[in-house]
Amino acid sequence: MSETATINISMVGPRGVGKTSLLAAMYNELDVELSKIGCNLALGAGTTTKNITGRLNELKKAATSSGIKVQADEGIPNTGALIEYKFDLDIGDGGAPEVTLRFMDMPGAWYTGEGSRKDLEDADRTLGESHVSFLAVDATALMEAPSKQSGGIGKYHDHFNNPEAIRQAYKRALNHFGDGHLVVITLIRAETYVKSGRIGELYKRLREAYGDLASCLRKNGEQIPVFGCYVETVGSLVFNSFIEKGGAVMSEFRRIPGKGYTPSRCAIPLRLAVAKGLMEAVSHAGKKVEQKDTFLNNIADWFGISTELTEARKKLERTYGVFQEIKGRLNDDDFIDLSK
Amino acid sequence: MEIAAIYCRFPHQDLGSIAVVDTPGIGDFVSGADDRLVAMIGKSLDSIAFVRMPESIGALIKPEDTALHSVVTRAIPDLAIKEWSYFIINKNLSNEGNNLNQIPRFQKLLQDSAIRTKETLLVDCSDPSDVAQALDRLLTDIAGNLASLDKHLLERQGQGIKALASSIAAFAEKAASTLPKAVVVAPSLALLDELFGTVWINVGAKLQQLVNTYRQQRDEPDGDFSNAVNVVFAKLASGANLPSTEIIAKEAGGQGLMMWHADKLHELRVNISNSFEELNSCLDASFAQLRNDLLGAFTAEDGGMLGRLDRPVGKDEWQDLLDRWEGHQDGETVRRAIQTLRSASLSFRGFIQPRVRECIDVLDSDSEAAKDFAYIPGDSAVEVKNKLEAAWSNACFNCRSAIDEMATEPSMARFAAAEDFRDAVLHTGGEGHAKTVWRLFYHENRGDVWPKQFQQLEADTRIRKEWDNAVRLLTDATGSLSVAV
Repeated sequence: MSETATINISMVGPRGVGKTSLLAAMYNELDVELSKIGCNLALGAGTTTKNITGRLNELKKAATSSGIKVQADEGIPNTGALIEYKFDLDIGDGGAPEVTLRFMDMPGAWYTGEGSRKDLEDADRTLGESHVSFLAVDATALMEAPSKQSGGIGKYHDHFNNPEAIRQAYKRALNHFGDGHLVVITLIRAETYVKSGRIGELYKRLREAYGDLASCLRKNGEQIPVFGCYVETVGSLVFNSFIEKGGAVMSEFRRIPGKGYTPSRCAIPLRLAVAKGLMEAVSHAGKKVEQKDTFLNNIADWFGISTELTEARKKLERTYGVFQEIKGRLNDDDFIDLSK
Repeated sequence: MEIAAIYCRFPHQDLGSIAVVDTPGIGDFVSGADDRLVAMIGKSLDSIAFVRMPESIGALIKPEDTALHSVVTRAIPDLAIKEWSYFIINKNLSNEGNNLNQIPRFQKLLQDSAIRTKETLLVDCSDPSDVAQALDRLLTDIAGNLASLDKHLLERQGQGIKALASSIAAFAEKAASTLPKAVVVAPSLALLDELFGTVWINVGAKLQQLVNTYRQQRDEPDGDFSNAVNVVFAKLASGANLPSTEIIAKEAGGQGLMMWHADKLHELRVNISNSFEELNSCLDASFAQLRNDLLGAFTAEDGGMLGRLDRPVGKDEWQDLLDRWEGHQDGETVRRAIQTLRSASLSFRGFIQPRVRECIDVLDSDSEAAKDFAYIPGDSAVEVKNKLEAAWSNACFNCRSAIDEMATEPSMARFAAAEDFRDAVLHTGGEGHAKTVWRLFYHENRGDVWPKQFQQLEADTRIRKEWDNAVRLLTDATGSLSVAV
């Protein structure tokens, strides 16, 4: 049995909505948090390091460059295939990572139902088999230019967040879901509403826009938990306008003078996945202790001689300590429960 | 020279301004001058002092003296001249022309003549102190006498006006009874009932149809309004039209970039606000169409048939209806409904501006919302331009959002106006009452609406109405005159 607990996480959301930015910001903030308790969150080699560090640099640059205007880019080009990112969590004992967080960026064709039948089924299975899915929602599209016809939901919500395609994709994947899947809807680009004290309104719109999705996520009579939260991936960019040109719509943000790169709350959604991974890692460590709990190891241990049992017990203790630390930082107030 | 004005001080300044007018003597009169004298005395003067120096030998009251007195008498015919005039006998005490011996004789002759004045004073006009004393005496008497003279004059004139008002009232009464009373002809009423019954049903159906149409559109964005909004925002989308950074740097050379930024912010705010004025014509047109639609219900041949009314060329049809309903029994309800409909409108100032005002706060340097776009010392021309463009973009977006939110309101306002109008003209006081009121209206206008059936009767009715109107105006005027008196 592998000693590393693997948590599969699906990154859900249309292209350009900010999934990679979310991932980069989550990593950056949790890495700092974990390093303070002696842990190390390492980026996987290849695509992960390239895309995450690249996006992180872009976020910092967006916050600190001169000039007031920032236009949202269209995200990483869609290849039609799943893109995998890996984060390895080492609790600081020098051995193999205790937890691997495996993020799968779902391909754009999956939402629209395009692509081959096999590709669609693969994507459905990937989502169904993941332990957690992070659905990235652009808060500005949800909130800005509300119309009466859509019950106060932003005029460009459909354009940027494509909620109906997302709902249909989740419905297709529903049959593949195993026990314990968790959906976390993460509102990104929420800085504008934090600054103007409109988080209550933001959550209200989230419930209105995604209540249907939450209510359709029931399997065998059981509700799949759906939580909502918001993050500030940059901190200093607020919404300025949507610009329509030649049939295309672009988001325009502006820098708050003197604020710089000040992301906030980005670690919150990732803590859930890490806690889930650590819980599994504690279980692994416990089993290891059981395996090594032999008479001879106990005798040696009694005489102060380090054995595999001693090491297993230390690892269990350390892993459990980190789990408790992360669990302690999960605050009820940081989420709203959309499944209720 | 006709008049020379000399300004000087007089005693009794507490009385206010005192004007002493030296008129020409009777012999000095050129042709028509006596009429001008009469007019001047009547309009401008409160009192008259005749001054006469008797001759040193054989003093007499000459014909010129009595002639002047007669002329002055004409000035205020309602007031006896003896109440407001004085006679000054100028005594000459000098060696040359001394007339002291002639004074008693002259006084006796004056008393016997037709000249009547309030008082006669004997004054040495060459002696300033004697003149001052005489003037003092005159002014004291005039001041004490003026109020009672004015009252007396008003009473005399009022009596004349009252007599005139009585004559006019008697004439109006006679005029009112000159034409015979209107005679109701039973067969024509039966025919009217039949014709009006059809019209009433048609008007009701047409108005209901219009209200239904406007109700269906109530929750829909108004098409014309949305199109006009699109046109305005297409222009705004072309940007703030700021000059190049080189020109900005050049223009800001004297005053500095901070002032240039502040001025431009102000200019952009005015530009964006003014650009919505273009929506006024669309809003006006929208209500003009509503009024036209509703009018059509009354004027259409398959509606109210009031398009047949004999209307002066160029006269507004609503105004014509308003005039026809004036003085009509229970016509005020219909008139009010028409007036309300005619004044119903949505304007940029009343409808849009209050909502967009907050949205353009980012272009107001005093506003908190403009903080992110404010000039920061050290900003370059490029940064200033970027900030202004971002502020413009934000203001345009916020305005668009606010206006889009009210896209259905013109439709709602039109529906409300249409429904209110329909209710006011067809349902006020209950449908039965409204029908009776409209039936009377059609009765009065039956000659125009159904000329074949009612033209002669209508002609008689119209002449009678016009006559009654004229008599009423005359009576009202007489009443006002009496009250004024």
